[in-house]
Amino acid sequence: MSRPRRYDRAGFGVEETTVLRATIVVVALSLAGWSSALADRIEEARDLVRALASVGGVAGHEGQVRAAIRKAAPTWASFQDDNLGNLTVVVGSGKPSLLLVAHMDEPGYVVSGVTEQGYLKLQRLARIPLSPLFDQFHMGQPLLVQARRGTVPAVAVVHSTHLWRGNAAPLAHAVLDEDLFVDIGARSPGEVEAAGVVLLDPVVIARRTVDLAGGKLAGPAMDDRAGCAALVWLLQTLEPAKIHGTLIVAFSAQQVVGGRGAARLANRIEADEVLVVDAPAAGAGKTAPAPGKGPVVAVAGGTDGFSQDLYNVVAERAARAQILLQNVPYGTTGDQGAFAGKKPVLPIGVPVLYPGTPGEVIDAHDVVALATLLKSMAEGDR
Amino acid sequence: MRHRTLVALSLAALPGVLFAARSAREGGSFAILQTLVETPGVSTREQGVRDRIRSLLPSWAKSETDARGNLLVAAGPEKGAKSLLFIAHMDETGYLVTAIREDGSLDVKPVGGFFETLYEGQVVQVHAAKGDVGGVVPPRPNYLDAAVADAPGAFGKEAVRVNVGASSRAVAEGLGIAAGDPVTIPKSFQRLAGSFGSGRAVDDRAGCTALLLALRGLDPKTLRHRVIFAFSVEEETGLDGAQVLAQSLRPDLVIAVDTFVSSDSPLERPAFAHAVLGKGPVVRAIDSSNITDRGIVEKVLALAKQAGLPIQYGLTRGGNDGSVFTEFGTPDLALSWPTVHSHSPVEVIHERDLDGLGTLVRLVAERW
Repeated sequence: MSRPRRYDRAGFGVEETTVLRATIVVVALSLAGWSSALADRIEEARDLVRALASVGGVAGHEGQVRAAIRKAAPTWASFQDDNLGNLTVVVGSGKPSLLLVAHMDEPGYVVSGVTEQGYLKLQRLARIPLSPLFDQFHMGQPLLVQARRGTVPAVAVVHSTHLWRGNAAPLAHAVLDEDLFVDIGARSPGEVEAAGVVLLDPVVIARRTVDLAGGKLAGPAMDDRAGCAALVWLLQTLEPAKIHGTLIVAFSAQQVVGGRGAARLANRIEADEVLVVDAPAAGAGKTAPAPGKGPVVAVAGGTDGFSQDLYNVVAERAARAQILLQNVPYGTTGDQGAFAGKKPVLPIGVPVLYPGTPGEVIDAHDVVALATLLKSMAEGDR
Repeated sequence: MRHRTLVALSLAALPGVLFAARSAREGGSFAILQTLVETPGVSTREQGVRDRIRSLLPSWAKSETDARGNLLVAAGPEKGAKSLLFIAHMDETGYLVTAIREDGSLDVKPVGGFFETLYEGQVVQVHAAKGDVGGVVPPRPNYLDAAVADAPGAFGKEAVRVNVGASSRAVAEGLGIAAGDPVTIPKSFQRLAGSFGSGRAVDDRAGCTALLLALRGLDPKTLRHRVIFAFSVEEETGLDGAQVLAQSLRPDLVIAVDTFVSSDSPLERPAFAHAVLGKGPVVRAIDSSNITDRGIVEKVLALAKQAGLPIQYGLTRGGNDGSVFTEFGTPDLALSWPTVHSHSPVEVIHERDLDGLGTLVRLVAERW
């Protein structure tokens, strides 16, 4: 006589329940492991963006960014740089050829003069649309002078609230680059020289970055170090033997002064298709794209350089990989302009919140998603 | 001539002696200052700073904390010839979280007076119970429009929020954030060339440093006076911590050790407050809260001169903790170092001035 089966409240036999519980535990542990691995990847991607954004890259002075990219890239990557400052690596050979371009530079300044009291005067190097408050965002903030002998800490002089009546009195007029005085702790031109600072040295806001919730990161120059990070992540994760045809990964110089690095790439590099990996120009759309909701891609109209065919391929690959895309206008000032009319080109990138401020926000999930999408493009038939 | 009477005066006697003494202590005062500056302490949330100061006291010093949070160290004979109270404040300006919105962003209120534009579009840290959480103060919504150039200072008050990347109130709460949490810029002290240094809350951690330097330098057994060193709370919100002390302490002299906001800057008007950074501590003879008796000012200057200590004096704006004692009969003397860019993220100080201020505080404690 067999023992009557006992049933639990859910109607499962006890033995079945045990098996079910064990299965649930195994699945839960697997999910936890997968979730933990994903969290690790997001943290690694955030660390990569932080590393690339931890150095300044004023247009024409991208050397420290180049060095950071080389350091983060896999050892097999054989980089070439040109005399304009672009950095490229070629993977695979033959047709078709795909060129990916992310710019290394950021809006910043160079030393344009030294006062008798030892303060530096600056000129801004940027021709892209910027907030009228861009220079004001630097006033009263720590800066870095990237002198040849090394980085020299500095501060941008600001009024003392105690000495001015009325909260906004000193800001009756918009601050311009020429209004800024920069203090490195020198009190004469001779002391400036002794500190190793000379005319033309690049100057950027200090590299203060903070981690936000959910894989987000905030700080200066997320545009376009997050795009550079996506390309480095791609290099780190791709298998060169799997590349379909030729993949050229390029990090461009002097984007913010009018796509000069990209213009050189457009004339020198044979490519069938070009993806410009960048955030949309600040204010290009009525609604800013949101970090964490997937890579951004240009929509037709409103940008110099847009290939509908390339867009269709990107959209199809994204759908297949279950990657959400945000469709946005890109504006007319990016590197894509250099390729317009010459090659099929499409801007795509990592969304940046508060573009043009020292507190630009990105989400590392978007960096990983974009790199995954680009990998799919590089490995697959198009 | 009128201009000269307004300009702070430098009595640079025997600078060689000072430099020799300074090189022997190289790194000393700025090392303490850096530790204190990098510890957040928005008014009413001074606990971390208080703990740091306590850990930096000399071994003989016994400290106590009053109900408001003021930290006190007493030295010298209980029935000394005179009683002196030195007071430096621990708190700093910043923001406090007032509410978490449904969308996960934080409402904040400013604590103390500062140009709120200095936070616009900048990164910050929310000092939450579970640890620091990064955030950004979003710029004004139309910051990209050409029209903002017409009113560049139009940012502040209820327009200021903090985005910590949380998508909902629950996510923000899950990070440990709660109403009342303090918000600051990432706290960092940066050395500049020429023995200058910069950071947020040099006002008044440099004052706290000067008190610590004096405490470490004096011998309590040789003091003739009863000397109390107070590290106060809530100065930036209206001298509130000092108000509590003024209810119970009746010293013969109160010495507030706090910033001399200087016009030694290309953006300021040199008509007053022109104490030069690097030329020594400053007697803040007149400010918005107090006019020190000229006899007391001259006594300090003579004491410094006698000791070969370069010193400046002048007038500036702002209030000081000692001023709340005057109505109870205690004269107020404010001793300072010159600072520019006051209440900004980049207050600048010269190490020589801080060294000198520490020496001056000790001289007053020992020889007044």
